Amino acid sequence: MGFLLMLAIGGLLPGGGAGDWFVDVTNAVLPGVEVTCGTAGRDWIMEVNGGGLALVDLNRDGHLDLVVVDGSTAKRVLEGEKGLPPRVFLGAEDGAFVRGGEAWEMAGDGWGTGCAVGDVDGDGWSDLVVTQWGQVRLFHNLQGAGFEERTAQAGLPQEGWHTSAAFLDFDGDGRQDLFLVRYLEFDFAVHKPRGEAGAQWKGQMVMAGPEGFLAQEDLLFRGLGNGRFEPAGLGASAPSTSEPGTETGQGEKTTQPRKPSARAGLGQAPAAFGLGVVTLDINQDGRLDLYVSNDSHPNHLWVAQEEGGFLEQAFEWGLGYGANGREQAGMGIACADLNGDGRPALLVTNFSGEPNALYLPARRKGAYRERSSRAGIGGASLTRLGWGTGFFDGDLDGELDAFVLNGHVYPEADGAGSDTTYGQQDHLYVGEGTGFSARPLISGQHFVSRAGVAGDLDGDGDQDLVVLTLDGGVRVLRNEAPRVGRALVVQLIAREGDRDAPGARLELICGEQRSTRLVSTAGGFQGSQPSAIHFAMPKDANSWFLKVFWPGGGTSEVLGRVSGEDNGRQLVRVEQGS
Amino acid sequence: MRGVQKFLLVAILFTQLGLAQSPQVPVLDAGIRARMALALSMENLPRAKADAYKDWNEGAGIDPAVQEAYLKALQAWRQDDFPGVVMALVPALQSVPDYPACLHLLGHAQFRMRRHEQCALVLTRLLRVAPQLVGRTRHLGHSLAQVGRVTEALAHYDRVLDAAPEDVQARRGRAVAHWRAGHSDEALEDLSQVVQSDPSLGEAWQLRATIWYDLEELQKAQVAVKRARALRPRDPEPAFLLAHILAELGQKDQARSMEQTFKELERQRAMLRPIEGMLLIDPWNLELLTRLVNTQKAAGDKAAVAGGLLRLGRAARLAGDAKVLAWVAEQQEQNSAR
Repeated sequence: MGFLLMLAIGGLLPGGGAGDWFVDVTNAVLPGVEVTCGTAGRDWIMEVNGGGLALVDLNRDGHLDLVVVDGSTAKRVLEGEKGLPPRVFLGAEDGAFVRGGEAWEMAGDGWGTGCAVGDVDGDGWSDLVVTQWGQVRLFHNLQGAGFEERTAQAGLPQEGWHTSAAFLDFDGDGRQDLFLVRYLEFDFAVHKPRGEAGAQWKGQMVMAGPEGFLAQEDLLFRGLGNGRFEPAGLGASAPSTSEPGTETGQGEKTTQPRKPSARAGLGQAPAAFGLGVVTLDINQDGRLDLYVSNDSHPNHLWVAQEEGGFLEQAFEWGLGYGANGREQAGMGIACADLNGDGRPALLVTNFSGEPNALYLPARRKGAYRERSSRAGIGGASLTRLGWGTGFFDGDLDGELDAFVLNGHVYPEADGAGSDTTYGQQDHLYVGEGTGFSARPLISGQHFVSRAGVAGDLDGDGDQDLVVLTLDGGVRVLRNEAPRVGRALVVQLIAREGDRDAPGARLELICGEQRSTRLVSTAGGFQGSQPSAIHFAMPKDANSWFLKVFWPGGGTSEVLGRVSGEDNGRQLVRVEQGS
Repeated sequence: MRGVQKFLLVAILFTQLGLAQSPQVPVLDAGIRARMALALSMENLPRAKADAYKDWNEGAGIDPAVQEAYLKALQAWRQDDFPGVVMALVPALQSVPDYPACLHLLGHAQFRMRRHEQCALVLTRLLRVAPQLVGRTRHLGHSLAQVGRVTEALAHYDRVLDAAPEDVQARRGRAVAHWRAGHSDEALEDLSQVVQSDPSLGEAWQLRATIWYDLEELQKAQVAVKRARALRPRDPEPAFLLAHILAELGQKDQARSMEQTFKELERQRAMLRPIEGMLLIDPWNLELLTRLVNTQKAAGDKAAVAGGLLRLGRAARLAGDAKVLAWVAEQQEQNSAR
């Protein structure tokens, strides 16, 4: 009720039309949150990608909280000033956010880019990793009372341009490991600004890059379970230092990993301009794999091996290139099982002139096809430059939809002959059985959007959106889609390791409908999504059957009766072993 | 490109002027000239009334008021100087709004510079004043498809093919648009006619293979992609698809070998692509042209090296750069000897 009242008096942003699924409620629920990423001229590539967003219930009050990772400017860097601090906004009862108090304050440091959420020390509370151009930072969650920075002892990299990050337990030891996606080597003192750099695009002088810059390889860090990390298997030269029974720096005995000799093997693929990452189980073998979108390079698929480590197999799976064999400018990634067969589909957002790539499983296992055109996404996305994205069921009809946030990298895109524009409409792709139909996310609104995360902000069971824009601050878009079915929201509670059970697989059977989901906070672009899983149930269904495959083994089965409790959603908490 | 060439040839014949007598394209400040040309939006050109040229045909010759500019544009076109085409034609179109020959050439130059919305704008204007020329406007369909306006592209291709059913490239374009719209059957039907009319059209075989592969008809895809690869051995696309087909057919060794071939071809293409992109708007840039030749040389593509040297020689002559001309002569000798 409070939310509705605020809508009535708070005013909505301009734009929007009848039939839009989303309403911009920023002014009512999160007014005036500006972000900085360089200056409007975008003279350097450093100023282009924007910051990061996380939606997570930090204090376990049942409301999603928001972390906004902010950037910096060339002037600040050159004058030795710190970057702008990340900010926490705590979710309130009515779907609004209030700035977290002093306990949640984080100091400014480098040029913030993205974030990842995971429980790094197994205390049951979600901790925060902030990626930067510079030191990767770790913030320990003080049991919902605030953050304490523990970067100094974390052992995470001090240099490099880190973009997205993903938590996963790659070695099966029950502790969260960390995968860091990296972009390129950049230095304001070395690289010339737009104009001086000589870079051109469609006849206009633009900022230089990424072509011509040195790509940085992605990194994998093994979590030691005590808030510390160590490099894991870059190439074949970095053996584990946490073999069974060894003492860690804090005198705690490690538990035995399932694969004590596991090495990541990330040296097999050439370094690329990495931007996005998702965790997935591409071959349904129960091990988490990684898919990384790379700008101007083939995307990477790191498939976890039984004997430990990963093999890069994007080409073999048909997930490295576009349908025409061209590498694309991979930005963000959405990942979900679209048809209930357990095999994930991948949507990768790309540059203008390239379609967003939709990779769907082929009939033969182990193969994918890029089918964006046939699915109705390709043509609609050709003039857009996509970033944050995600699959979600906007209207609860059982068909997953996708959002894609758009905005060009060059302000010069507004010039004649570019076939595109700088500010762009964000897209909603409405799932319709065999394909999607494209429509604006909000009619009439053009922004330079970047990261975006979906989550149920107002507790009504459907997923709303938080969007970071380059020159328009952070926006909140409330889902007002007409509901076809009912919402079932599942929150897993693991007994061991990360309480939110990342890597768990869920299968729901409800009426004729069968859906599968994987718990993962990684996805989109430089963002972290909530761990709660959203299912749609047909309106006429009476009961549902849920099976949970827990990470590390074991299953839970729950038979439930459909109810419209709690503001139109049915919330189910499944505890491991219960 | 056959339609364009015919159109240009007819224009030259009817103006009864040889290229030797055409004014030379200025070379100085080519970069600035290019940027000026590219900053112009075709929307801002003055308009003639609808159907103003409904009785116009190319056989009637070029209006003397635009003849000099038109020849200048033709000269630029022949030298791959597309900004030069724009710079020559814009003043002509300001004095004689929507003159069909100028619009036609201007639209094609925009297309070659990959400015698809501008191309669509110009060719749409052409059809507004001279609808009888619809059979010469397949590039409008190509451009519409390139910017994702696939439904409009399909409708336009239908009109083009009604007027010029023998236009193989329009039919191929319609197949691409059908494919992008998810109409596999219609695309395959068009492609079947295209490869019957012109079996040497590698792009058509490639698209056929891509569609069969998408439909998971691996044997048919393999046959088609082998034809495409034979016709376009330096194109990475057929090698890419063939590697995947072989892998899915269980021929792992051949698949791996083809993957390596693809990666090498793709590496070469990736090196060439930015240079070619910059040359589209800065065609007389000696440094870029030299880089182009060196990259082609590194790829071992003799035919491409010969073409690149020809362009570089032409640019060096116009710039009066004796040093570059000497290097071109030396390279031409080496290239023909290799």
